[in-house]
Formats: sequence, structure tokens, C-alpha cells
Amino acid sequence: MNDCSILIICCEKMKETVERASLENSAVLALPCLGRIDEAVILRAFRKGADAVIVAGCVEGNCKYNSGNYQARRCVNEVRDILEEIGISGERLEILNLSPNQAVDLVNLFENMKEVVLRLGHPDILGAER
Amino acid sequence: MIIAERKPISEIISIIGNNKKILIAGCRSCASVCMAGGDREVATLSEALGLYSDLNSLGWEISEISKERQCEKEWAREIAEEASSADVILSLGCGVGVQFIQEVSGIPVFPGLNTSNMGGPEEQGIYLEKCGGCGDCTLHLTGGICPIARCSKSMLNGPCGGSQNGKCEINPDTQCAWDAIYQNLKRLNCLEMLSEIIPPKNWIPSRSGGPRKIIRKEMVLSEDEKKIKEGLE
Ligand code: SF4
Ligand code: SF4
Repeated sequence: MNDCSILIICCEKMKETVERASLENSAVLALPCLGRIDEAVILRAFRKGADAVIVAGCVEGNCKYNSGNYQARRCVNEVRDILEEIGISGERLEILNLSPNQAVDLVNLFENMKEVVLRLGHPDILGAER
Repeated sequence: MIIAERKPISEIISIIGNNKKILIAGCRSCASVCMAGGDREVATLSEALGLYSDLNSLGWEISEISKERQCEKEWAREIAEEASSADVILSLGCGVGVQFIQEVSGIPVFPGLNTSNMGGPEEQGIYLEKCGGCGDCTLHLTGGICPIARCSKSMLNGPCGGSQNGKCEINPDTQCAWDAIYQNLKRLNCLEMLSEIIPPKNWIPSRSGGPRKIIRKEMVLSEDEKKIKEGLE
């Protein structure tokens, strides 16, 4: 599947790792810290046509600003519930905590996400999910 | 503060019905503190409803506004003015806010929250009822812990036989208010207060007389003063 678009939202610290993974058909949104993420940003990504969103940040306990990655996890969980409520599978949204040398984990998750999108379809045919 | 939580989105969608232009109105006071209806929650709901509309080709036009409070006419009026081109206002304020906006708005105002109680945050994300608004406060007799709101049976003299290890019999997660009252009186060195029987409460200032009204006589404006104030606005 070549034409799925996945948005990766990461923190500055992870930006290089994400870019090094050179994930095709992906866009990267780097925030100073994942604590800056909010529900609206993720939902807007879907509205703008993302098939899936991956939030990638540092390992819990390793956030430069203490708890940004914990906040992001809570935010992701909330958005997953909202997506399900409006008829979009929560599988389209994942969060990953990784160290800068673990790009392979991100690549694996990205490949899995592509499979998910392949199975569920594009947002314009999301009706099939309901 | 007033504790409320967002209605399920499916319910909000059905409340919106066939309306197309929706103004989501947030409240930066209580509803914001309990993370149900502040700026962030307004933005979240706006995007969620927008996404739902896009997916189902509903053509909803959603706009957002938040004010410091919805439960005062001045702020409510500003929200209503902003909604001049909307079909409906979806309020993320408490039930009081919804009513204040509806009073000054020519279009329907719908509740986006379920308003629950008077309480406060125990910790982030956990809110506990603290006061039942009985109109005859006796917190001075109960170690500063309200038996009306916090005892499952609203007992004025407790605990009942269901109190076990500090927990209430209705639920092992629920603190027994009367155990807490005991612990607090002990901490305050006032345990002897427990030997006094608290007499039946005066329920007249409670809800028995219909909607309650409190009048601070000295603060009420005279008709002349009202006219002068209106002229200044
Ligand atoms: S005694 Fe009455 S007024 Fe006082 S906290 Fe309890 S319910 Fe509220
Ligand atoms: S166990 Fe405690 S809180 Fe529960 S009903 Fe009895 S006295 Fe009230």
C-alpha cells in the first residue's frame, strides 16, 4: 500500500530519530515537547486527511520537561475514545515511547499501522467501519 | 465549584439534530477547572464534531467562543451576541450557564454537559461532591465534613452499621463520611463533640419551597440606580 498518509507527531528530542527512519508517505509534526499536544491537534490531523496518527516521544520518565510524554498518553487515550464514539477505529492512533537509538521500533509500528489502514480503508470510505 | 462532565458525543450529536451552524460556548470557571468545558474542551469537541460532520457530509459550520463565566448575564449576553448567525448554541457550561444564555438568546441553547454537584477536585481528574446545598449548614458540628452530601444516607448522627474500615457499605471505594468526621474531630482534638446528638435539620431553606432565592438587601440596586447603570452601559 503506497498511498496511505500517516502523521507522526513527535517531540524535538525524537525528531532526528523519526526523520532518520525515512518513513514513506508520512508527515512529521515536531513539537517542543509532547506535553504541548492536545486532543484538537490529533483530531484535526484526521480531518485534514491523515489515515492514521502515531505519537512518538521519549521513554516515560525521560521527558526533558518531566511529564510531557505522560500527558500525551492520556491525550491519546482520550482521542481514541472520541474517535470510536464518532465511528472511527481507535486503532488508527498509536503512541510509542522510544529512545533515540530505537528507530526500528518506530519503523515496525509504522508498518503495522500501514496494515491497519489497509484493512480499515481511507477516511473517505470510513463509513465501512461503522 | 460546580462539577460537570461532557455528555457522550453520540448524545450531543442527536441533540444537535438537523441544525447546521453550531456555536460551541465554553466557560472558563468551574467547567474549565473540572476539564469539561474550558477552552481546551471546546476545541476538542469542535474538532470531533467537525470530523463527524465531514465523514457524514453534514456540512456543519462550527464556531467556538469561551467566556470567563456563563452564569452571569453580562457574559451570557456576549455569547448570545456572538451567536447571531448560528442556528444553535451548544453550551459547555453548567446547567446554570445554559439557562443564563438561553434567557438572552433568540436561538436555542443546548447543554453539552451533564451538571452533577457542588464539590472539588480531589486530585487531577477526580472530583468529589462536598456540599448538598441544604441551606442550613452545620459543618461546625461535623468536623468540616458534610454528612448530607458525603454520607450515602445523609445521616446527621453516624456512623451506621455499614461502616467498615473507613469505607461505606455502598461501595468499597467510597469513604465513610462519618468515619472521616470521627478522624477529623480527633485530629482537631474535638472528639467530645460526638457525644452531642445533632438535632433534626431545618429543611425549610432546602428545596421544599421551590427554587431558592437569596437576597443581599444592601446589594440590591434601587430602580433609579438601575437606570443610571443601564445608561452607562
Ligand atoms: S451541611 Fe448543608 S450547606 Fe453545609 S456543606 Fe452540607 S449540604 Fe452544604
Ligand atoms: S457507611 Fe458511613 S457513609 Fe455509608 S451510609 Fe453509613 S455512615 Fe453514611
